[in-house]
Amino acid sequence: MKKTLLRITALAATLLAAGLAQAETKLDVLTWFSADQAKTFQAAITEYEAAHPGVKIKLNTVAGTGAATFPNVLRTRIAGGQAPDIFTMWGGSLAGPFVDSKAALDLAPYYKKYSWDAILLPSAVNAVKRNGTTWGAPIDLRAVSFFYRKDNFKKAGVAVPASFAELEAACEKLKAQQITCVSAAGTFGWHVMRLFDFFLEHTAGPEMHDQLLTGKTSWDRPEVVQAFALLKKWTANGWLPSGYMGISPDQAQQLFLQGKAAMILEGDWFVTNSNAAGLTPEQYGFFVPPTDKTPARLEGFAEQFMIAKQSKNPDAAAEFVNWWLQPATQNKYYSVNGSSATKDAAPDAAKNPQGATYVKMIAANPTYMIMDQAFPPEMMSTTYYRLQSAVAAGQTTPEAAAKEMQAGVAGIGK
Amino acid sequence: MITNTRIDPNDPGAAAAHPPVATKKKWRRLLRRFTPYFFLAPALLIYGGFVIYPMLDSLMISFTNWDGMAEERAFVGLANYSRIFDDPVAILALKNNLIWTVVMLAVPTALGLLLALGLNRSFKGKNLFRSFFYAPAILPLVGVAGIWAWMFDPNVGLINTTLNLIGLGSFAHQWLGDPNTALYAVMVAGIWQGLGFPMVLYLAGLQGIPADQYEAARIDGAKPLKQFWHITMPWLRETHIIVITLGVIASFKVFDLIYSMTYGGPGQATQVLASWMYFQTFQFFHAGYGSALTWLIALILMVVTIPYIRITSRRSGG
Amino acid sequence: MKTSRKNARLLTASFTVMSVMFLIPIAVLVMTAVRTDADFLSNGVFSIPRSFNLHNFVEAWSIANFSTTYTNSAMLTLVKVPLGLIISALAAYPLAKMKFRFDSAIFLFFVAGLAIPIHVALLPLFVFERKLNLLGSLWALLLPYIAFGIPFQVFVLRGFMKLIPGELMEAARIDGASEFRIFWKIMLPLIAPALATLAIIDAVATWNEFLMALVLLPSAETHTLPLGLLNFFNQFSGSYTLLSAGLVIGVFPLLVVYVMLQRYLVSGLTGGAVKG
Repeated sequence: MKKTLLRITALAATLLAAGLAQAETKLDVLTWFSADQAKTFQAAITEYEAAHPGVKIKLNTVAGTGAATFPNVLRTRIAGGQAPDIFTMWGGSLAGPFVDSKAALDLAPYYKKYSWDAILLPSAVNAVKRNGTTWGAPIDLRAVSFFYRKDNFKKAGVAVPASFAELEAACEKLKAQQITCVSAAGTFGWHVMRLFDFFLEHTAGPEMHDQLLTGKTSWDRPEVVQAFALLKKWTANGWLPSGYMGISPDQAQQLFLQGKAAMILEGDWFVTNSNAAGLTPEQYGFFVPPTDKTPARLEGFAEQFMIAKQSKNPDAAAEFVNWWLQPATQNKYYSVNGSSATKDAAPDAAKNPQGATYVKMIAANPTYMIMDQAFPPEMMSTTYYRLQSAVAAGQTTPEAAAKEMQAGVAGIGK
Repeated sequence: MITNTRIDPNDPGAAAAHPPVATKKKWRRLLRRFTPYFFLAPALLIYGGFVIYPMLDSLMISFTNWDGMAEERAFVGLANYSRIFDDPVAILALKNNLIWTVVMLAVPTALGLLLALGLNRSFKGKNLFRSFFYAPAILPLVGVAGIWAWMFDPNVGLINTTLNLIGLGSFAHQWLGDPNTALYAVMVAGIWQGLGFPMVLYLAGLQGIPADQYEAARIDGAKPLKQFWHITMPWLRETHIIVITLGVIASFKVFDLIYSMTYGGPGQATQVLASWMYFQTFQFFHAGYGSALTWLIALILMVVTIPYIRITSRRSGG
Repeated sequence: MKTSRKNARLLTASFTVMSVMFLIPIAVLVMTAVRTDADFLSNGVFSIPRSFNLHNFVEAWSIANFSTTYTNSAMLTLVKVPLGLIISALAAYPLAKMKFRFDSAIFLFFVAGLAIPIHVALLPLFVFERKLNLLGSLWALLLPYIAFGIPFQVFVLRGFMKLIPGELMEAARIDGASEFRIFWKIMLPLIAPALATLAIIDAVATWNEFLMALVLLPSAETHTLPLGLLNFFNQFSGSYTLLSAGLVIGVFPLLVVYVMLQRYLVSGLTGGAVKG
């Protein structure tokens, strides 16, 4: 009797196991990866599928520039009821619409289950929080710094500036050599915004800057006026490219890569661009923007994986995300993102010395949030970018700009 | 000169002349009456389902505050429409559309006609030249915008570099960076890409003018300019209607080129209704307001073009 | 139309000059397509190329997934263009040549569609097609493309059809031909230049259509050419040399189609159809 029971149980167990193995879990991942990135990511997926039989992951990508094409596809799929299980998303306010329309899952339970706080950089986690809740898991942390042409610096007899005053003095010397001091681009707005953010960190300091970005203190104040005034001054002094308000970030990058400009505010990805253009470590470097404040902070932002509320397999999705975030995976597939939010993940120092140095710089300095992730896109477009443009063109004064900025910030959500 | 004979399936005279003898004739007349609809059926069905239905859906959306994604949406009546009048960017966008229309009606049409007139003669290489002038119309807008953004680059662009070379350096300008010139700079790219289209339509129209018309006029001693005004232009009337109507419509719907070259900037200086609608719907997640803007475009166009078509159609014996 | 030899030479000369100036931007595009990225980035767009690299085309071919996207775009265009034209011609014929109760209303109904910007249809189309289970295949685009092409084609074709004198059709009708036969055997051949012109325009529009394809074709196997071109850009910068190479590859078939159909335009069918 016992033997038959055992046999039946064993049979049942085998059938059950076979049944489970055949029931496939399908996951759909939507990302903005380029062709190269997608290829490497697909290799990672294949590795994951091999280790997790029964899980099939489909990767879809929407490559392309800017914050416009990708959200369009994502939004349509969500609204059409076909949301991807996992999708890439920017941090801060750019993820706002997706959080506010309840399209994303609150990942707090998974943070607890997998102890993600232990393996992720705190500043990266902060960068993706919204109203104190973690709606996504950060997959990278990017920071902006001053890239500089060593050859141009030598030509003008300039050393890496250690203070803001030294930076401005350097601009004068570079200008005398007919070299554009800092290359910037006005189309889209966000490239020049990096410069303004740097000015603001310099005039307002870390604490006040953070309060401004969260709307806790008014923008109608002297420090903001000074930051706008700096923008006006740099334009008037010719330290920015002529006609910069009408050129695109690619064109601004061109000026730097061709040696016509001495500096540019770019992030970790720009190491790849510079290397691709044939620049050697002898020709270019980067330094922390001199804000004259302590701590010296870098402007930073993060990108994340979110899980859709519509997902039918959230646990399986979280399992994959967890695997992706592990230091071992991040190191092996570092080139997918070129950056990571996981502690102890870094590019191969032998193959990519500049890249490794950059990551060390990010790890060594705290970051402040980039403005276009602090405020909703609509306010940025109708208020900030308009004011930035107007101040640069001399159509409005720094004082008026500060007032209007405050009106814009106060009007958010109304 | 042109006669259009019409069938009139409802003509009672026809029935009187041939009194119905068998049911076959009745069936044939029934078929006759519904013939137009048989011809129209496929187009009506497809157009109704895939254009009209989504458009009506978007009308519904324009009466709500939907963000394009959430499950719920609340009815807000005409609030989105009245918001247009309070929105300085929308007003500016409308003004830009009007400027764009005037320029893009005058220039590519005139140039296209001139080119077509020239290319309609026989001379060496004319086929090749036809392809050349139409070639830009074949390029994806990504390509056109990219090329012309480089052309207008204030530092290394061809335009400023050439001006400097020929001693007109004082005219060198930040074409795309100056709110006053940005829209016109984009128009240059638009004209470059767009003049091939009226040219091709006029070429097709010119093909339809019988050569003997010009023969007769030349025998009578009419000069080429007179021939142009009294023969060519009247015969091109239908083509004119098409070119001008499509020109106005395209001008109010213009989006891709502006979006790619200036992104609506600097500031909001080059926003047009279609781009502002795109920003509102797809970047700011105000699907309701965006739909209202779409309907504004549609209404303006319908008000402008439909009476024009009706009048000119009737005049040409229509 | 006879042109004097002097005028012919003048025309050739002036057109040559105009064409050269006109085509400079395209020349730049082609030049960029054959340079290496390093050369392009360090020397700028308008410098004389210091490299000649046909490998860009090979690389561009695989990055943009041209083997898939070319096939998809080609299939879609080859089906859509003739099918759409026939449907529009069928609709234009009664509107141009028959009198019936709703003729002007229906014509205006179609023309109204010209006023409709395509973006508005994106989300409703997505939901609608999902309900009909059409998504996920390339043919999800076919019916919307045809639908959005109808207003313009009906508008243009009606205009050209009206120019064809009614006597030809009346004669055939008296002979007992069916309306469809008249349409097919008499009308269509007579408006061939218009059909050829519209075919070119439609092929270009279909080939280059981006936004609807982006939204309605979620998976890479069904992507059309413009979506493939997106692959040249990652988030922060683009490879202009590869993009240029990709554009050149992408544009090539359209140029072939145009050159082929353009000869047809030249033969000028309607020239001798009716005298005075």
